[in-house]
Amino acid sequence: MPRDKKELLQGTLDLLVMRILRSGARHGYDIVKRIEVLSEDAIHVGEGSLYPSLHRLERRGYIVAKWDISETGRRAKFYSLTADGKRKVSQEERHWAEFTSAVNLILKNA
Amino acid sequence: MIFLETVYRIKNWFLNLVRPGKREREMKVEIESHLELDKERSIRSGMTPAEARKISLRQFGHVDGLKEECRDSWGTRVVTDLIRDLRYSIRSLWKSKVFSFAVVTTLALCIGANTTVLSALYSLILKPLPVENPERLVQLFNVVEGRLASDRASKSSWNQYSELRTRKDLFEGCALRVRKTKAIRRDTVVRRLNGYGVSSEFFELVNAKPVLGRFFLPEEVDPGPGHVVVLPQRVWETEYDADPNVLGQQIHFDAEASYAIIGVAPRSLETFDYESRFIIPYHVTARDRNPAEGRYQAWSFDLWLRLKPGVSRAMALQQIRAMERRWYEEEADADARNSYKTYKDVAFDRPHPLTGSLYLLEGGSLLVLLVGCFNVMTLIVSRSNQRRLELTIRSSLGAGQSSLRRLMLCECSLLVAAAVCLGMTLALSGTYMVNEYLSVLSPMTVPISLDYATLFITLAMTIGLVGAMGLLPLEIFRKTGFLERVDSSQRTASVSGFSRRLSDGMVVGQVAIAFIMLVGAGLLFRSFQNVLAVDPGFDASQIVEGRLDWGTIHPRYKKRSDAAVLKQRVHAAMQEIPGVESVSLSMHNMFSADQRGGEFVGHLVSPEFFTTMNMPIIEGRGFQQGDTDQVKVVDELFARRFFPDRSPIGYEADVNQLLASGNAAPGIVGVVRRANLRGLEDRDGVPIVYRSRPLKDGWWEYSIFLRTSRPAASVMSDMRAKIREVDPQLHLSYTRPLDAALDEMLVSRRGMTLLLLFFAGLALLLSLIGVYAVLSYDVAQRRREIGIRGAIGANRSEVLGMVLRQGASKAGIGLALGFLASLYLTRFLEKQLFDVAAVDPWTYIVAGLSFATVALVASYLPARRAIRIDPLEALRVE
Repeated sequence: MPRDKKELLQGTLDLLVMRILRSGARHGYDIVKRIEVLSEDAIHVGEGSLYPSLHRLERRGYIVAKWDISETGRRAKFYSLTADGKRKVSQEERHWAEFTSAVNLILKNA
Repeated sequence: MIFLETVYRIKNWFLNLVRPGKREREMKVEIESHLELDKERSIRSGMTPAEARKISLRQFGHVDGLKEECRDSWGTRVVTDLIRDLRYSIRSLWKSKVFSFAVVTTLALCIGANTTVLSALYSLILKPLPVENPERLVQLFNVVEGRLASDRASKSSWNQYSELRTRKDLFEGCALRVRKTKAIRRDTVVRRLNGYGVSSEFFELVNAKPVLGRFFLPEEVDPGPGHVVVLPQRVWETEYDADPNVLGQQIHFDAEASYAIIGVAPRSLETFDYESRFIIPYHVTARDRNPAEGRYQAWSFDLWLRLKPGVSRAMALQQIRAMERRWYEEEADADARNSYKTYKDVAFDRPHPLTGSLYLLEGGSLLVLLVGCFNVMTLIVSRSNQRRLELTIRSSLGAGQSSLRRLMLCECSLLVAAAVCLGMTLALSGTYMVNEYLSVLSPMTVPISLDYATLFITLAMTIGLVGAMGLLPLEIFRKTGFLERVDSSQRTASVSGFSRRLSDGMVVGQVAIAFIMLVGAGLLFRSFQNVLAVDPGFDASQIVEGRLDWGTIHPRYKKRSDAAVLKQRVHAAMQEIPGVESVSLSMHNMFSADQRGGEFVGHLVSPEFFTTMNMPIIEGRGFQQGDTDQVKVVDELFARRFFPDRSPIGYEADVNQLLASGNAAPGIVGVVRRANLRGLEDRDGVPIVYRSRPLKDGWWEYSIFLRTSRPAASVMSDMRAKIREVDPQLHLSYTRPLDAALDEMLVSRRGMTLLLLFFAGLALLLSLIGVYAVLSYDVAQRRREIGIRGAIGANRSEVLGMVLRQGASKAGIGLALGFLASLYLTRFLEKQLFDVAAVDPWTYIVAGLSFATVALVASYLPARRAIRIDPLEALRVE
């Protein structure tokens, strides 16, 4: 069962990560915190899911990584969206909107 | 943009693959920096560093699990897994060296043998001609009865060519080619070159384009004769260093006019005649044009026809037959009508003389392959059974079906790859060996080579083998479901019945096939022995033949009287050679008598011929000085065949008046012992009629036979020296001892027999390994059972008998099946057999006995291991 849950999260996580990266390059820790802040602490992304997701997106070419110095002066790996990734984000976003509205319709009317 | 990203992606993937260390370090640093950032934040909110670190770590979860997941996401897993599998496979194969060696050697021998035979079959027989629409290009032959199978079909005549050339309704093109030999002189050395003369349409018909220069113009052929020559590309490259300025150079053939080089013909023409050194225009002679002589007798032309689209072979043949009949009924004179008696039919294309042998060898090598595959399967199944414990442990530790399958496939791929490498090396040396013999076996053919077709078949075969070898054992295990059960009986329980039946079946199959092959090879071996035992009917070991080159004689001794004088001088000179007991001349060279006529062949000889050859006269008399060429002596076979109950003396033996009563004097005067002048295998073939040709008659081209007890080599050099003494311009085109020549005629049969014996031996060896492997494995499996038997009192001979019985029953069933199959299959061998019945009891008995011995040895070794099992130890181990 836990496996199923993760699968479910995965697609959504990729979307969230890419959406957050649209505003500029960020490192992993930053992304985790950003998700927490934006969701008002409702969603906590485990590092165990985040890093595989980042590496996967990197392999697929949606994001690229670059080593840089963080705001606290520490070496960290910064991820940013590629052109391909930007296209993907808008596409996924649209997809998500359609999906949720459909689900909402069912919940409302059923 | 997209392109760049793809490149970036591939680069990334590749870097991950080749530098996993860097990626690992980066991952570690990244995770570390994440933890640090988290810690800093916690410290800012008032925690101590140690506390902060602990919380971060707890929040982070399982670091190693995360690392594994990240590694998965790099996408290099497939490759790293493959490398791991390969490394593991190599280690495990290396550990069982005997197994690996047996599998690789078996497969390599099978692949090598098959590839070689298949290459020969393809190159010599199956390969289409290198022309456009090869199926429409045909060669016309005239078929005559009463000839040896190999030359039953004869070539075509000029008349056929000139008539068919006008049949535009049937043929798009028609070309003629005739073999020519020319002597070429460089200083004192005369070399004889083969080549051919062609009609002007030839090059176009076979779609040849000149590599250099041009081909013949119609007026150079007819009215001709144009003194121009085209060189084959191979000759141009090897002898003229591919010099483009070769055009216009002159070649001096014989003592005739010189020929100007006008062009170079492409390599595709080699298919038609590999050995040819020149191509010249063929100039028609009066004899060619003479219908009576030419129509049914002067069959020296290769006639190539290109069928019009829509015209089938059968349709064209029918039209040609109708044409021949019309000519016979409306135009033929009495002479031609008589010739026509032996003339039977026309046909397209002629089977290659090696077709039968090659298909036989192909069958043999396929059977070896089958035995080899059975053998390898048996080995693999029994090895997998031995590895059951290992596989079970892997399976219970979480290796899925797919990873087990991957591992097995990996091992098999390694084995097969090694076998293919070795097999291809064998095939290369095999084709090299075949080519060494090819010039003797089948002159004028292009050397065989490994080409795409055979390589493709080998590749397909290989992939099939890997799949079958790797997946079969796993399928068996899956079917019997044992990988799911791990229980205490794992090490002792016998293999599943299914896999056991399977390997038993394969052993039986191997034995059966090996027996069939042994019988086949045995029959051929006996045939070969019988052929060798045939009495040639003349003293081959003491006779040397030398043939005077017609090309060098002709222009100098054009007049018949000059030729007769020359012949007498040659004869006298030969008699001066020390140690020569007898000299005679014959118009035909040995082993190729006159090809005309069908019921018998003629041999024109000088009167001393029978004395020289040591052929005893059985009835009547031999030739005497002063006999005309109407005097005939026939051989025993002729007398037996045509005069079974009376004496042939006094009768006529002529194509025109065959067996007519004795009014035409003097006819047949004697019967001589049968001499197999057309090779030992022709013992019961075509009868020979000898006609006397006195020395004073002028004829130009002849063979000289010397009978001597001196070593052949020194006599042959004396002959050449004497000929130069007679006239320095003369030379012998070849000299040879007759026994060597006779032996050379057997090269094809010898090769075929040896190869099939080799294949049969291989099959025997493989089936021996098969029996041994299955029994050994069986004994190992039944250790405990045998131990118990020993403990409760079974003595050694009982245990021995038990194992031997098992071996005997497998071999026995195999032998019985093989015996039945041989009874049926050997009929396909009949054409190749000589004085042996296809169901030859001796061959069957010897094959059966050798098998019984081999099976006994193969079962004895495991049986001995069985009786050495110490009951106490066997039971303790369990």
